[in-house]
Amino acid sequence: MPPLLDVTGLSKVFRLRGPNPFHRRRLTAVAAVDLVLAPGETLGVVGESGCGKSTLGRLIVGDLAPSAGTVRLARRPVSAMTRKERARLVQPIVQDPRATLDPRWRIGALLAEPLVIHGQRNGSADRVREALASVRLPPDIADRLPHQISGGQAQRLAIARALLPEPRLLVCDEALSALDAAVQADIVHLLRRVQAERDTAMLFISHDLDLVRHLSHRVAVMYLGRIVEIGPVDRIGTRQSHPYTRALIGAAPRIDPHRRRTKRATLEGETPSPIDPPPGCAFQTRCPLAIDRCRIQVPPPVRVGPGQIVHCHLAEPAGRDHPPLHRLAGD
Amino acid sequence: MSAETSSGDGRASVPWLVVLACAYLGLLALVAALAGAIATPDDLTSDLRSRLLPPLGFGGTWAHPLGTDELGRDMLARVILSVRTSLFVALVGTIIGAVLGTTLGMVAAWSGGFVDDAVMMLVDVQASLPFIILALAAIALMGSGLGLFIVVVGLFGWERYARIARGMTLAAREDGYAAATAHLGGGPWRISVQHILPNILGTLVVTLTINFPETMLLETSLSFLGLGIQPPNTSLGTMLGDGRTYLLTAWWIAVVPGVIISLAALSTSLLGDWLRDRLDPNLRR
Amino acid sequence: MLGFIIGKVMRAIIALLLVVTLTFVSLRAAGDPAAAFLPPDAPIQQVDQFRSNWGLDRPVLVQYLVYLGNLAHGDFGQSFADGRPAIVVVGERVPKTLLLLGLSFVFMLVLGLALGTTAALTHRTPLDRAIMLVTVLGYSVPNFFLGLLLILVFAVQLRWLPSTGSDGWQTLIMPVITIGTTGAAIIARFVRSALLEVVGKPHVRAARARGLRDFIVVAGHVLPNAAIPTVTVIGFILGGLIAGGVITETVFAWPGIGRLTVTAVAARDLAVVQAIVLLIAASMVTANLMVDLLYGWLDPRVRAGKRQP
Repeated sequence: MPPLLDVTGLSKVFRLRGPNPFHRRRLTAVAAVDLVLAPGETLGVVGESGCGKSTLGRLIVGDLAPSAGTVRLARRPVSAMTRKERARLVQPIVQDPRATLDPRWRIGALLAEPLVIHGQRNGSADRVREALASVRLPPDIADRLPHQISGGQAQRLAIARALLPEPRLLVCDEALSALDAAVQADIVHLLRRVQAERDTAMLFISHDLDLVRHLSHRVAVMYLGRIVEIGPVDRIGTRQSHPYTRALIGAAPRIDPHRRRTKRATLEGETPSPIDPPPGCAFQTRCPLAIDRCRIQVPPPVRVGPGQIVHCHLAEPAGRDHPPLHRLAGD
Repeated sequence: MSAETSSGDGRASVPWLVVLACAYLGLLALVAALAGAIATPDDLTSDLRSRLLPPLGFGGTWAHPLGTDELGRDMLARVILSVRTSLFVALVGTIIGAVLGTTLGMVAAWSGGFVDDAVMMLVDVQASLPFIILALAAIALMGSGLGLFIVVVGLFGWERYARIARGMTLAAREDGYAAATAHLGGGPWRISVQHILPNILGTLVVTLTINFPETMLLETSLSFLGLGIQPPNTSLGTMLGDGRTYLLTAWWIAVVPGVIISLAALSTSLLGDWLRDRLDPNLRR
Repeated sequence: MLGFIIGKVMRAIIALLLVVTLTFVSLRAAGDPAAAFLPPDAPIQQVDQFRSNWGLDRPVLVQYLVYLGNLAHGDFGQSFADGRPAIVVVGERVPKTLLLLGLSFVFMLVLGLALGTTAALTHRTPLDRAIMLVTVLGYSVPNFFLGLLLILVFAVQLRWLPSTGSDGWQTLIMPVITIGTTGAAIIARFVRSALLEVVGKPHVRAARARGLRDFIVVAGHVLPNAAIPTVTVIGFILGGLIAGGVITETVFAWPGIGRLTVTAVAARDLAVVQAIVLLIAASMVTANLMVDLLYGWLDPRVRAGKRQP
């Protein structure tokens, strides 16, 4: 099956306004990212704050123009699409849904807006009712104003609104982070049902590893703007993983008490600034296993298992007997 | 000022000075609206036998409650017609500035790049010259017909609206409901008119109330200098300019319109300050 | 810091160049400059001389460059009212205006600071309220009316001061008050709110608690902090001064730039109007540049580029 989303060599560099107008410093938020996503698939994107995962999401929904590389949706570059074409392919779901709702518009009008934009005014009242029902919101909510509904309702509403142009990809950026646990579970359930019914793909950006594990088929781990590892959810954080992934997952509380803990590589030192990223491997300044090569050369992708790609000089291609990462880390 | 000191304790009641200011402005607006019915140019026929009569209380009679001018015209009728002209020019001028500035600001915010730079440069230039000098230069260049004069006065203050509209459009585009509409496929026009404009209208209206008295002062200043409203039209500024010559013998010709203008400016600043404190957190320092 | 200065200077130069360009464009749009800048009865040789001087027979871009060159040499065209070069006509009025505006500025600053400081130190007392009411009145009364009222009271009724003219210090009093009042009112309100903000800060409260006399507190702790926001309004005030000068000079028949502007506009003496516009723009841009640099020097955060866009 051809991929729905195809990202190649995607980079975003921000020029910072500084005191000196002739010398602008550059912040590399996203660096040379490659990824693909199949219809109906969910890819989780994790990493510390500032790692560029939100910028990646904004590049994919078209909020930002890439500095280099392309984003293709259904084989067409996003940069060549009209606004409406793009809207029918990808929709964002953000952390604060209430901010996306014009405080002066009633819920019904807000839901009808995408239909009006896409010239489907006829029968819009019925479609609005359907949309409300599909996210389990009562029909009478249509007469209310955004400040008269709860946070969970607002997120349901935002999802219903985003689904009206019938997009094939949802980019959820910390979409559940502001909600309490019970509502989170509700929305997770809703997203899964939407995905099953419509075969919608999802890019699920979050700092919450448990949620990502729960929802995703695959996971990408970002560090300083780069994807350091990407692979099936059950292989992330295992022995073949990137040292950063293992540190990240080791740092998070485990949900499964029966799984034996692997020896953690603990993180020391500060995350280097994306304004002056270190040469070579981005992680070398904090990596417990770094060797000389890591300080010189950006590590190439290495396929360490089925569908699992790691950017690390120490990673061994799949099929070797003794993964060196394990040997070094276990000492 | 009183609006400022009394708004601190969060009372819901309106300060009496603001009530008074509103009453005065309402009276002016009423006079301007009904001017055609209560005073006609016929009331301005000169009567040389009754030149320079003082107002009531200074030896005048009920026939001419505010006295007469140097040509024996009734001051009250003249004041009424002048109030109409001055308020009309200030109102139309304010609206021109608001519409032009808001549009330019929004266009700048949406276009970015060269257009944005160009608009902001114009704002900078505007800030580098007192507006009255620009207005005078325009009048020198193009003469002082009424229509042209209103347009020149209307340009006053456009840069304030442009700054506000640009800033708020940029902010709204960056995140929130405007961005959401863009994601759903809505274009700049829909976002600006349906979403951003209604939400910044409050701030724009407050700016309008601040600009209105200044626009009126600009018109009266230029008319006072003899470069604004030209006879046979008459404005409060023209009256003051005429009255300057008769300060020695007939002070009321200058003082009556002067008091009217001053009270109008005072009322609008009281009202504007109060509105700003009440309605608009965006403009609060 | 160097980058900050260079950036500000560049902006100032660009703003000035833009004013010049706009002047050029509007003059060309308005018609034949030869007709505008020369007396209608100018001899044909003079018209030809003018045309070649200003490059009117060449392409617009060349005309523009010639225009810039002429301005750089101080050639602003000829006053058609009295036939002399516009720069001379304007230049001889400069000292009178500088004297008037300079004194008005000092008056405004002293009165504004005094009223504002007094109001802040007597915050929430009747005196504070009275001062604030006076300041609202101060900026509500348009200066052409204030000037006439002063003439009415001090020249016509009391006969203390001459109503017009420019000889002797007595003739300066009323114009200075007329120009300075609006600005003084604005400064007073500004200083008051800036002071009130600073007075609430811990180091000032601590100084007061230590028993320092009020005026020492003001001098040592409050004023330096309040100076920073106050500096920003000076550029704005300068524009007000110039605008006030135009009207006030006319009211009091003061032979300065302001009155010249009004007579030149009434006579449509474009060369003189152009010279005045460019002169004022140059002074305003320079003044704003100074304020920006001063502000950057007073408040290091501005240098670091932390100001809102």
